[in-house]
Amino acid sequence: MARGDEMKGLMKKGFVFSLDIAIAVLVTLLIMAAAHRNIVNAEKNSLPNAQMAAVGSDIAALLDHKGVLQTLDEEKIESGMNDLMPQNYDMLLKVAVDDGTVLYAGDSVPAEQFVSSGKRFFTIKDQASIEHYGYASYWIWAR
Amino acid sequence: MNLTKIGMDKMKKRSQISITDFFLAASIFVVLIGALVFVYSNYTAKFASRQESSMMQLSAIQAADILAKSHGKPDRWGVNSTLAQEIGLAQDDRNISAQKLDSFLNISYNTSKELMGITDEYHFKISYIDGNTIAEKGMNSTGRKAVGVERRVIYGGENAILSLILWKRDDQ
Repeated sequence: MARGDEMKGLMKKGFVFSLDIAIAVLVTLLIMAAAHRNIVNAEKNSLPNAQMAAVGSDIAALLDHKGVLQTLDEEKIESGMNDLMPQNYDMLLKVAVDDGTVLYAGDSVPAEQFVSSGKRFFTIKDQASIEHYGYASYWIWAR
Repeated sequence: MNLTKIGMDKMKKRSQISITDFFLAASIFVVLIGALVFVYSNYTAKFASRQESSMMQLSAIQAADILAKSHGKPDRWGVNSTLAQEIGLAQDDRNISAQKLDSFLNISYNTSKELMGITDEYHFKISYIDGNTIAEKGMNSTGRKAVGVERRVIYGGENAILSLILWKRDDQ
């Protein structure tokens, strides 16, 4: 009887040791999983997004420099934009002028992916004098 | 006699459990430490590679931005390229000057690297939107890592693409 009690005691000790190990392993694995998650998140590279923003800015600037925005012609703006657009990107351009004119060119902005945006201000001149002020807002995303 | 034997049996069993427990704990510890070392070394190498790529990308974006948008220093360095302190190819924002482009092409490769502020090797190309090349400079990548940047610009009144590829030699 006494021997049986002693064996039970030893088995309990073994059980406590096993539980201790299991908890230790679980804690270590949790820490490793958390570290892995943080590392994966940190690895997400944001520089391709900077390249995307630069493309959007370039397109708006070139349409301004070449006088395409100033035409306020939706078709010409869309055509000019498509000429400059790299194949792997899509873009929406909104052109608004102080006389109330608002034009749109391009596709609708997707809901569930990274979209880079910016705004460029421009003037519409008649000879040397400024007739209107306007801006072109753009949204660009990977196709 | 019997009591002594029972006592010895008890001690043997206790020590057996302690030793088994010790070996179990030690082997789990070793496995976990091994896994940690493996994961750590793996991530360290990946991080270093990522860091290098990010630095190259940043450098390429900055250099292309300066080439496309800046006049360079001094402003009229295109007239005499020996006076150049910093290379920028624009006559206006994103409008490339033919004179500055010519001067840039005539500067030696190593000097141009210094003036552009880059340490990696590069390949510069400007071409029309339809793909016809206007000018090229530098060496095509033969190295272990390369990053590229493209900017939309105007050259001679036409839409053009300025592309800059930075790459690392195998020994870099």
